[in-house]
Amino acid sequence: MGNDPSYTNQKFKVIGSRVKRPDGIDKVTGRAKYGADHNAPGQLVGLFLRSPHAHARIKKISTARAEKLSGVKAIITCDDLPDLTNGDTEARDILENCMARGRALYDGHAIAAVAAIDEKTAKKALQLIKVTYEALPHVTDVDDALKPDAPVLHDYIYTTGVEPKPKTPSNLCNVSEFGHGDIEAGFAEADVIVEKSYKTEQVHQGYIEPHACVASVSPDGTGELWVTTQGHFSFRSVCANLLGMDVAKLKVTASEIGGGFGGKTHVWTEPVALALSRKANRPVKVVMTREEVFRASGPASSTSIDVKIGAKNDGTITAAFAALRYQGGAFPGIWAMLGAMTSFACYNLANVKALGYDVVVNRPKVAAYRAPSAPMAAFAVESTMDLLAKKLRMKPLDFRIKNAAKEGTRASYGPVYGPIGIGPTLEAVKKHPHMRARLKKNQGRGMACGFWFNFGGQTCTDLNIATDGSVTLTVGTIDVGGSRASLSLIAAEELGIPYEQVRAHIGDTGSLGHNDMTDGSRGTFSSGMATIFAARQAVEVMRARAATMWDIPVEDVVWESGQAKATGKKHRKLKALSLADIAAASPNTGGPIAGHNESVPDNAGVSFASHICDVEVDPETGATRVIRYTVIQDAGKAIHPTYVEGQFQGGAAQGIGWALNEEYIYGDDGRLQNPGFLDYRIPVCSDLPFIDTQILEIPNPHHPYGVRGVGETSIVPPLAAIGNALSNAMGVRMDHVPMSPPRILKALAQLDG
Amino acid sequence: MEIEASTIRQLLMVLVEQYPRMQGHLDEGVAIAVEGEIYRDNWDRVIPPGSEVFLIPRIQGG
Amino acid sequence: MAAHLVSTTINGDAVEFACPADESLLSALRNRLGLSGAKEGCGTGDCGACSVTLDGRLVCSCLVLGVEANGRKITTIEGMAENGVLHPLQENFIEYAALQCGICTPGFLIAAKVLLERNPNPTETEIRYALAGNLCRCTGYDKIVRAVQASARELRQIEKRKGRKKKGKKS
Ligand code: FES
Ligand code: FES
Repeated sequence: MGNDPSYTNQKFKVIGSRVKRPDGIDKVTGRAKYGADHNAPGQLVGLFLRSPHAHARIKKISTARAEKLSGVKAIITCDDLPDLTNGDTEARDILENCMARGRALYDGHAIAAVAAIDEKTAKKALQLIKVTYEALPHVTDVDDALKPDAPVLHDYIYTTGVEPKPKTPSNLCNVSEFGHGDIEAGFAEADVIVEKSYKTEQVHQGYIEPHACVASVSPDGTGELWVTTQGHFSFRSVCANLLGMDVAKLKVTASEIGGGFGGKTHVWTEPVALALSRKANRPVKVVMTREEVFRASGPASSTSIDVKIGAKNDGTITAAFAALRYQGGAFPGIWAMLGAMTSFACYNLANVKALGYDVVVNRPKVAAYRAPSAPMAAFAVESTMDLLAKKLRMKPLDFRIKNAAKEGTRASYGPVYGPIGIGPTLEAVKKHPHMRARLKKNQGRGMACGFWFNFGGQTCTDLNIATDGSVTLTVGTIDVGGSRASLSLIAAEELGIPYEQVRAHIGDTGSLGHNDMTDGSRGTFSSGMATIFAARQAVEVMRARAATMWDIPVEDVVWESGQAKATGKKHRKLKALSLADIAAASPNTGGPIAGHNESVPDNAGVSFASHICDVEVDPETGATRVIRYTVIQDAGKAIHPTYVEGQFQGGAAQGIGWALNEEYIYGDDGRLQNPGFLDYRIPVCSDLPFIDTQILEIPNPHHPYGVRGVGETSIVPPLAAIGNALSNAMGVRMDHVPMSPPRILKALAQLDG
Repeated sequence: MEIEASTIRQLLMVLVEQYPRMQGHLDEGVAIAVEGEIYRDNWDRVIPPGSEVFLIPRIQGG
Repeated sequence: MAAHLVSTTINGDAVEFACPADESLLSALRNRLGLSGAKEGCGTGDCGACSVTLDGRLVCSCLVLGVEANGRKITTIEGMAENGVLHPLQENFIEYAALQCGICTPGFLIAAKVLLERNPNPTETEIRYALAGNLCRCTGYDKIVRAVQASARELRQIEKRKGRKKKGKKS
């Protein structure tokens, strides 16, 4: 049969049904074990000392008094973490981010860590560590960091991607360029051109579960790590490399994960927890406080973006340009590049150019956040699209439909699209009753589109059939939103058995081969594909076993609806054997029955969404409420529609928070002023309406069921959809996110004045 | 540029042969876009004749 | 600081534990009593992941001291299912996919139960405001509100049936 990933349009029995997830009961009874819920015998408490400076030279760290405190078992500074990265700059940055090396690069940067018998002792020890700092000039704003007189963070960063190569270091790490055609000629052809600049502030993924781990290293060099993570195999390689351990000797177990959204794709305290354990010779538990999560994990970039789009009077876009500046925190990132790639991906453009400027500033190292970098770019582009539509006296929706990308369109980031969903989502917007609902005073409606790539990645999956016919499915991707249910559905579909007969587990790093990070919306896509192939392999084994049981050639056995059947007249009398029959006989027909798959199911299918949003603004206070919201997105094929809806709604809610409230506020001293949920306000239940969803299914040609990644795209359109709605409600164009009450009041005042 | 290769792996080999400086980029991690889809690791992907291939930096999601 | 002996009732069982005066109830539950169903999302009263009831009142256990439990009744998520039978809220949270990662779920269930005990027939707005002290980052709250609405309907029916039975017995 081979492992052909091509889409086959097969008829489904259980796929698409809304079954209950296998981890549900544990999660509603408090039994599920998350990062902080695990304890090891004799464990110590690990705490971090963090920099109060945005930028400072660390002249001296004296730990002597802390070491003498009774109950302190280990103290770690960068001296305990020799640089073993061997020229791998990415690994070196991770090492330095986990523990400052000579310089504190942002408020919250780890300076030292302590392991002690309890929290009280560890806290006291932190107070006894004396650090002598020499404050250095700092910069936290992305535009300020590019000014000629800005303090330069790293003397080794010379801008790449520009000619000629710069002779002096700067905060600009890299310039990337995407696009095609000739934008100068394109703009010359345009009847109308709109040009505008935008800013978006830094936001955090805001997962409710702080980072937590229990690390345990034995004197023989083997170790174990229990951790909340989006990728335990990647954590294993990163930690082992940084600490000079053998990868295979470190076993990493992924706890239940209390939200990640990209923020748990990166190590923060984990390598240090292992180092503490190695030094103390005891297990060490490290749980971040909420304040630490805000100050010292990996939020998303703040940005500053210029967009220019030109069109003919008939609405055809002739040229589009964007310059996108993203800060990646204190270390080089690829965030502006991603912004540049995604910025114009929704449209069919003859002449397009997007420049990404990746910048370092004195803020925490940026990590991925759900469709990383795309929401900010979409805010700028989709706001400009509305402005241009207005100038052309076209409906923004029709303007978008006219210019939407389709199969065969050359994407602004290079490749040519296969079958895609942007057109169909826009048509669905047009037909949606939401578009015709009446609006009242101070209310407005907006819409916007979004794009995300989706990824696959290395995957390894095991499927074992017990002698009673029940099936264990072991996968190495993390279950961030119900993927165990979706994967069990897939196994049940392939094997022709009821869903309840399959039990899915997340294997630890000792039980499976490497699995890449569960990022890029790949969980159900990649492990789903591997599950299909593992199940099909198990079916092959069962056919052979049935042949043995009947003593006939395997060619005469077919697998149909969960049963082995003998074909041909001569076998007429042979009664079909069920999976359970074959499993029961397995001890005597060759032993356990299993199927497994190791593969790289890349090609998760690009995904598009269009959102419609109604807002109501209180002109007195500037407060904005979202009163109706609709998400329309292409899922390829929804394995478990309820969970797909959940992804759409969750992403939209995060986007709404980003648009209206959430922002990192830095003082002039370069310190974060709102590292808590009280002042960094994520949407609460009473802030939001029900979020309507419509799932479109345009099959991904590179998956047997047509599945596309679904987890990320839904966070992309809300910023612009709300900005556009606000503009329609109040006649003000917001160019700074979050569109918080003070900013809206200011814009309204300017309108009056 | 035009290159004769039937899989991503072959393509990258040919590229490094012709442009030894490419190796640095490969070590940093690349992704390859073939007909609109991005491949990060699957170097066995067959490249249909006449198709356009883009080398882009390896990117990550959330 | 010397530890204090605390005698309390947790999920109907008499429990004694010792804890220092400055330790939170959340920490005592999680680290001394093995009841890790209540989660710490913030430790400052902003997320509701640590919700429990104290003499029937909804509290953030991160803001209550362990010693305050002395002589009082606490219920936690571990006590919500009775004799292995899930509470309708628990059933419906699974049924309606009101949880994705599930870290906020124990807090939401406790808060929703308190709401429905006080107000068996809440409007959507009442539900949203009653749950506004609990943060969920995964779901956008849509399916949580629907699960609570469905549970309210179910519980009202159960009450009605009970009421009818009682009447039936009397006559
Ligand atoms: S942990 Fe108590 S409210 Fe957040
Ligand atoms: S389900 Fe993840 S925070 Fe609510």
